Parts: sequence; structure tokens; C-alpha cells
Amino acid sequence: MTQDIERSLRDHASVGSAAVTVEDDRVVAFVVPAAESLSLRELRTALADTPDEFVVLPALPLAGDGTPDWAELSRSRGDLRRRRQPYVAPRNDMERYLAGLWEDLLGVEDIGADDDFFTLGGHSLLAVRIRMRLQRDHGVTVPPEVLFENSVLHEQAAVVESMREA
Amino acid sequence: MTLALDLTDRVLHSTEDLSEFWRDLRHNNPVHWLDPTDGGPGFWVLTTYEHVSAVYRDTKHFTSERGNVMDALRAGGDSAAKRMLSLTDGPRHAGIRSILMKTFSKRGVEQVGTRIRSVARSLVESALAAGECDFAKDVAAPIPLMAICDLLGVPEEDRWRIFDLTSSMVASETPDHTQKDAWRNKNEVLFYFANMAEGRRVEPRDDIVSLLTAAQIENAGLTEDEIIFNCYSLILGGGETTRMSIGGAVLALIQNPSQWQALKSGAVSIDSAVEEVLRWTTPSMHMARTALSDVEIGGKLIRAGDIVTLWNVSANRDETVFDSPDTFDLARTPNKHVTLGGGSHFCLGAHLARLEINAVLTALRDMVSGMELAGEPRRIYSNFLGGVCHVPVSLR
Repeated sequence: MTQDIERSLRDHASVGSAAVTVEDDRVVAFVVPAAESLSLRELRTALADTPDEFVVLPALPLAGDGTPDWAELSRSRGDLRRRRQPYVAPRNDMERYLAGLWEDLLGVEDIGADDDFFTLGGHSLLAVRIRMRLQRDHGVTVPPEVLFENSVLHEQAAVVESMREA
Repeated sequence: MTLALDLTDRVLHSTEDLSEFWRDLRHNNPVHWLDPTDGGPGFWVLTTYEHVSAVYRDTKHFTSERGNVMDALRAGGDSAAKRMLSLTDGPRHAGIRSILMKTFSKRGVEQVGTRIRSVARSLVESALAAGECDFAKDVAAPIPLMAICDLLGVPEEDRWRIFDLTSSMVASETPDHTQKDAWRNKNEVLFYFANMAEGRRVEPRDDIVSLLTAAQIENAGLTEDEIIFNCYSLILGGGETTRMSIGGAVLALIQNPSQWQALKSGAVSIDSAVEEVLRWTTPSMHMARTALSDVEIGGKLIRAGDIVTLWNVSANRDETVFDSPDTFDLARTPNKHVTLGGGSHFCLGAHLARLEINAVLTALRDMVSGMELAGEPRRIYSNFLGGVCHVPVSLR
């Protein structure tokens, strides 16, 4: 099962490399994007069998013999889990819109209303991408400090919504 | 003399004369481990010419791919890592560098040469007509800004806004500048070039942004991230550093009347003077690398993963390489300073920087008969860029 998923992941054009294992009774797929962005939503739709969770990494850590370094991968998963907030489902259109946008930009699934952009790896250029998408999809030009000061999803949604109405 | 100075302090470099500190390190502790007072990651401080230039050339043991300045590396790495030319090593670096070299080669920069020389003359002419000016603001700032904006394709009406943003990304004119201000300004610049790149994809013009959006390496275009981060890097590298050198040149000429006379009389060539201005001003005070494997330097063991900072400001005053290093000597020869770095990451804009400084020194020599300070010069605050942002002078 894990090997099948691993094989189909590796065959997918948007995936550079992948390693799949079972941890805490969950099938966990570690993936390295082939290009600069990777939509896990699209990846999930494209796969016949899907893992329980994804962890997106910039590179796959390897042990001395060239096989995946599972201990290091497990630490990456632990690190990502620590950076997550307990899941609170997005509650309105703007929260759902931003959650989807963050998921694609950050390579993290199930973004919740209490998650924090910077804690999850958001940086300057990703903030630029949010601003460009908000400009295109909602016609608002959001100053950078607004994203910096409102880095929790529900706060960001509220301030963008108020700018859109103004 | 204490070795307890904290080099991460951005105010220190602006307010203190660190010459004694650097001399002491070069002599007694040339490969020095520093633990900053903020409790964050420590790093190596390399201060001799020999070590600094050796690390620039040693791409086997040292990488730029995690970041190349102290602050970014201490924060865990630069978000532009591997997507900005200066933060990329290996074949990708060579590929992108060769695309940009078309513009930044000696011949390439001549496309703006005539304009730079004529703008330098007209700015000096205005300063002469006014009698007094702030040379850093009125002459040193607009020349590199105009040149890099011409090359990038940034329209006239946006330039001073871009200048205000870039001049407060890695440095500032006030000591109380916050991280948030820096982040905000950096983000605005990235946003500006992201929009510009989008426009150039649809409607290419004869400029660097269009060149980058159309470029192909091994049958693939550059990524959006690479384009935006490289524009950011070019506007910062092109606009900020040479501004420091030009402002610093005038200050040094006023403080060293015999050198001004030597320039004026033609006793030294402009080319030779440009090199001494570069050595003397050293706008990039330091650069940084990360060790890839354990390596010994000067009898100290540097461990894989350690941050290594290379202090150009100290290497350029190394008495084992430069005779009377603390003397501003326009005729100095040889003058193999490390102001523009070294090795594969040697400053991409070196020819442009030299052209700009050359244009200003030529205009001064040909048009100005005397210069005096008309107020207190002021330095920028930064632990990376060093130099003057205000130099009030009277010209005649």
C-alpha cells in the first residue's frame, strides 16, 4: 500500500521525490515539489490511493546508504504538527478563500481559522503572492503591514473583508 | 581594547570607529568565534585579507545557498535562498549569471554610460549653481538609482518611491528602525517587481525584467521566484552600494586635500582613484557563508553548518597587504581590495559601479575648483551596509 502510493506520487509531474511510511497508524507521504509550488488538493484528486497526510519538504533527507532518513522525516512531521493550531474550520467565504490560498502556497492541508501564516513557514514572497491574488480575485490592494500584523487566518480574513467593503 | 563588541548591533557600526577593534582581531584572533548578546546563534568572524579572500574562492567548503548576510543566516536562512543569483551555487548560478552578464559586462553597461556621464555632469552643475548641496542625497543617490532603473525598466515616476523603500530595507537613516519596517519595505519592492514581471510577460520591452521573463536555461524558463528575487537583488545591489561609495568619496576628498589636488591636477588617473574609493568606502561591510563540511582555517576548526562572516571592512585595511592601509591614497598600486567580493560570486555590477564612480570623479575634477564640508556628515545604521547618507558640502 505505502509502496503503491509512493510509486504513483513519484510518477506525478508535480512531484520531485517522495517517501511514504506508516506512523501512528497513519499513512504519511513526504513529498518534494518538482516546481516552486505544489497543490496538495490537486495531487489528492489525481491519486487512486491517497495517504492520510502529506508533509511537503524542500528536499528529502537521505541516510548514508541513500535510502530516506526516516528518523529525520519523522522529526519534520513532528515539527509541522507542533506549528499547527487545533483545527477550527473556516467559517465564512473569505476565511475559506484564504485557507485554500494558504494551503496551496504553504503546502499544508486543512488550514484552520486559528493557524498562523508565519509559523507555518510563510515568508515575504509568499505574502507577495497573497497580495497579488487578493488584488486579482477581490480587487483590493492590501498593504504588506496588514499581512504582517494579521498573520492568523481569521484575523487576516476580517481585515481583508473590511478593506473590500470600504 | 575589548573583544566583547557585538557585531550584530546595527548602531555600533555607524557610531563607533572600529579600526582598533579590527586591527586587534587581525593580529590576535583572526578567526574569532562570537556569541552575540541577544542569545541567538554565534558565528565566526574572519578579519584578515588572506582568510576573507580564501573563503570567497573556496566553494568546496563554503556555500552561499543558505544566505550571504549575518542577519539572514542567524535567523535560520534567507527566504530567497537558491532563488537569487547571489544565493545560488553551481550550474544554476552559472546559467543565470551568464544571462545577466549580457547587461552587466563592460560593454553591456556602456549602453547607459553616456547617460550616466551626462547626468553626473548636470547634477554637479546644479550643485555648483546652488553653492551648497547634500552630496550624498543630491548626487550620490540619483546616479546609481537612475542607472539601475534604466536597466531594469522601472519608469521615472516610480523611482523615488522605490528608492525610499530600498534605502530602508537593510539599512536606515534612523537608529530606531524596526524589523517590521524593513519587512514591509522589502515586501513592497517584491510586490512591485512581481507586478512588473507579470506585465513584461505580456508586453516585453528592452529591459532586464523582460530579459529574465523570456530567459531559458536548459529549455525551461526561470521560475517566478527567481525573477522577482533577482530584480530585488539588482535594485538593492545596484542602488544602495554605489551611493555609499560616491558619498564617501567626496567626504574622503574633502578630508584629504592633497588627494583632491592629485585628482585635480591629473597626477593620479581616474581609474586608480576609483579603486581607492572602492577600498576606502567598502559599502558591503561583511558578507557571510555557511561551512559545508569541517574545515580548518588559521588553526581553528570550523564545523559543518557554522556561519562564517567575512569582514571586508577589515580585510581592506589589512597592513600585511596594503601599505599604510589607513591612508587614503588615490595612487595606491596594487589595490586588490575585496570590496566587490571574490570568487564565483564576485559582484555582478562591478563594471557599472566603476562606471558610476568614474563619472562622478571625472565631473568633480573637470568642473569643481574647491569643496568644503558645510555641515556634519551622517552615516546609515546597519550591520551589513556602511556609509554616508548625508554629506553637506559647499562647492565652487
